[in-house]
Amino acid sequence: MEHCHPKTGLLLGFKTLLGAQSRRKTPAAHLVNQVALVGTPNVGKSVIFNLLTGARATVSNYPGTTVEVSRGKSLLGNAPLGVVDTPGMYSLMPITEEERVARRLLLDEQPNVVLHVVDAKNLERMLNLTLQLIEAGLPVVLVVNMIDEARRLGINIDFRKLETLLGVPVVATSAVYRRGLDQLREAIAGYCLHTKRQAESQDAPRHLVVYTPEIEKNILKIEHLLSNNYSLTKRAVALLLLQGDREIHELVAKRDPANYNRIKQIVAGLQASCQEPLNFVIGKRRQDKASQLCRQVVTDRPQHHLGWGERISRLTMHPLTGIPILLLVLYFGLYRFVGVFGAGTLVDYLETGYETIINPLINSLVTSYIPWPAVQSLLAKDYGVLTLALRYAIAIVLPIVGTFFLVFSVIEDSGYLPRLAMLVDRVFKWVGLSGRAVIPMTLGFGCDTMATMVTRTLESPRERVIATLLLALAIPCSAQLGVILAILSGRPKAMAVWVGFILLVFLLVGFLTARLMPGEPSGFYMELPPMRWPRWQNVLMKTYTRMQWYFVEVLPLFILASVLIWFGELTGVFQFLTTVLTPVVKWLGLPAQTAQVFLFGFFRRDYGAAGLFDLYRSGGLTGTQLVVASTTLTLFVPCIAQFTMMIKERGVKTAVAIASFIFPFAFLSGYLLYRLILFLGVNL
Amino acid sequence: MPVNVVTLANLEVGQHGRIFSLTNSNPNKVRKLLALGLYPGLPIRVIQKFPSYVIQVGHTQLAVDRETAQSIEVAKEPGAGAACRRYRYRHGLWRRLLNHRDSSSPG
Repeated sequence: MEHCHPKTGLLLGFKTLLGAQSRRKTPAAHLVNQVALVGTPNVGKSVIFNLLTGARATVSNYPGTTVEVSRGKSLLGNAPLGVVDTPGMYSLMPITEEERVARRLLLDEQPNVVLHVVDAKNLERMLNLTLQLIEAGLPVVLVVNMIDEARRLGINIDFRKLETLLGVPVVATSAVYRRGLDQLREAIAGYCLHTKRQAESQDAPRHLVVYTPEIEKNILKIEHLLSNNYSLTKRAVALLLLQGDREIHELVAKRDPANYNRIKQIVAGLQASCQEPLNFVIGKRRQDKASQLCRQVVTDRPQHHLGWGERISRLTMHPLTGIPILLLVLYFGLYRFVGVFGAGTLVDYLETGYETIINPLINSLVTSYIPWPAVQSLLAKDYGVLTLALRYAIAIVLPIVGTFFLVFSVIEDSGYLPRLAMLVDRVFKWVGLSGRAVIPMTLGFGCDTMATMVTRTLESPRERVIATLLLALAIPCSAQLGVILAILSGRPKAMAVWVGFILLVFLLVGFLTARLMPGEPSGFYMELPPMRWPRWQNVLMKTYTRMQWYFVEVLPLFILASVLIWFGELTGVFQFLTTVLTPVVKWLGLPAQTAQVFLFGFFRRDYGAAGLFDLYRSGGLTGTQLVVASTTLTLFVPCIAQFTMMIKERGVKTAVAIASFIFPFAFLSGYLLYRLILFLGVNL
Repeated sequence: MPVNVVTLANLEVGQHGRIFSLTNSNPNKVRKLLALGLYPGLPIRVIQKFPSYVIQVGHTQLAVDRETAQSIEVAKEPGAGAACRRYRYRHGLWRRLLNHRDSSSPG
């Protein structure tokens, strides 16, 4: 296994979970050269990161999948070179948490080279950030990526001229086809060996963008009031102050406390004399410059026919065709492949193998070589680490999670997810989310823990809390889903009741939370990348890294849960808890054994689901009982891992509040559903 | 405001123009739109309006909700909308479905 490389920035920057921290480097500790990749989401930063480092950051056709900073190592000649991949940023002035992370990295770590990766198709839009980075005095190399796609669209760029106009190295690449990498390395070497950071030598007043005389005058005034200890040029700091950047305001208040009030007055005075917000005026001026540069270097031959990608894209977005396509994707991708093939065929195959060959072998080995019964039952027998924890992990969870991640990677790489986001935005608005939440919500069907982490790509704290709640409550993870699909697949009516009820809870709880929670709903705007054929190497690699993350995170917890259960059984705590839970379970019309299933579900969601599966196999449940049990288990508390992630992402207070709502709510819903089924006299 | 300036939400599918201004009471939203590259002066075209707006700016497609679409003001370039509607009427999906005689082989 590969997890001895904690720096490979596994999927979504899981390093922190793997214990490989984001170690803050002070600028003084800069012994090796460091390169930072920045740019808007979905321009190929991660691909370039992977090519430079040989590592495997997850690459996708979805904006915003790099949530944390990934770090890797490369060689420049013989010297080591640190490479950092940052989350997407649109502008030097951050709005989302990811952008804040990216900027903080540029300020605190002061990389020797900043690679600004842009999409050649959208140079006009993206040069804006390049201008900001140059303005800030950062050692920029402009990497114009995806030139293959741009050429296909009839776009030609004069790179040499652009280089002269900008005054920084410009490199053309097509990273997925590994083109332009040698030039890129040369450009990096050029910076590392020769150039000093402009920010250090404040005497480089070549202004690419010249603002209105009024603004320029005030920039100068502010510059004089600033001391020298910012890692950006004074001009850039002044501009950010004028634009109302809160973080920079705080920074200046701390570092130049004597002059800060005067600066605030200048900013306020200038804003008062302007009709439009300064941020808008400054941004527009910069964009004018970017457009002007583009007119000088880009020749564009417009194309009139629609390519196949564009045609498919339109079909997926039109409601008349888009909804049937969504249903097809769900049916074949989720139900047929994950539910029937993964949770059915593969699980059957592995389970049978495990139970008939491996478990008896372990049991006999343990009983003959280990004399102590307590240790025997820790390792083997009904709840042993080897017989239960490993069996659940390998025979039930592995095939389900694996098939899910495979489907998810294919869908993600094709560029379908942003289109789905656009399609469901209206419905999601209803439950207090925006279309953007489609990625954590879909990912939740794979692993809610992972999805909870990804909620940080959402824009407002309010939306993040709602998404976290809904994930914990109403989105079954793939292990649960697979088992429940397998249990209910023979009973279409029961399945319909389960789907309908969970959907109802999702909508109702979301709707009420959206109404009750203070704060404004978030707006929705998202870039739609072109539809692409998923590249199978990429799909496999992504599935692999996700499964690897899952296992690194899951297996210890499985074992821990097994040990806890063993301990609970040994000391009698479990029998006690089971007897406490038994009346509650009876209240829901379920047999007493399900109390244990719920108790296990507390340790891991999928653990509970797998326990339910065992109970179902032995034929102990009626249709109604299956539905009530599945529903309660789906809504039931998040597993330990998810709960830990909730605390980490949302704070203890919110996490506990969510859990203490869900716990009684799940049982109450189960009870209501049970009564409703009885009342209607339906036979499921 | 000049006569031919409307909000994006008032444009028809297929119509195009140039971004005139961004108006929203929330400065953060304006900032985000600017960051996405929706600067005044850029050409913009409406591809779809329901369930959300899909717009084309340069070579980029963006999906935005109604509220966001209302905060983008566009200086309209006349004519395209009508021509597009005419085209869709003549060559649209329904036409083809209902009148398959036009395109099918003789017989």
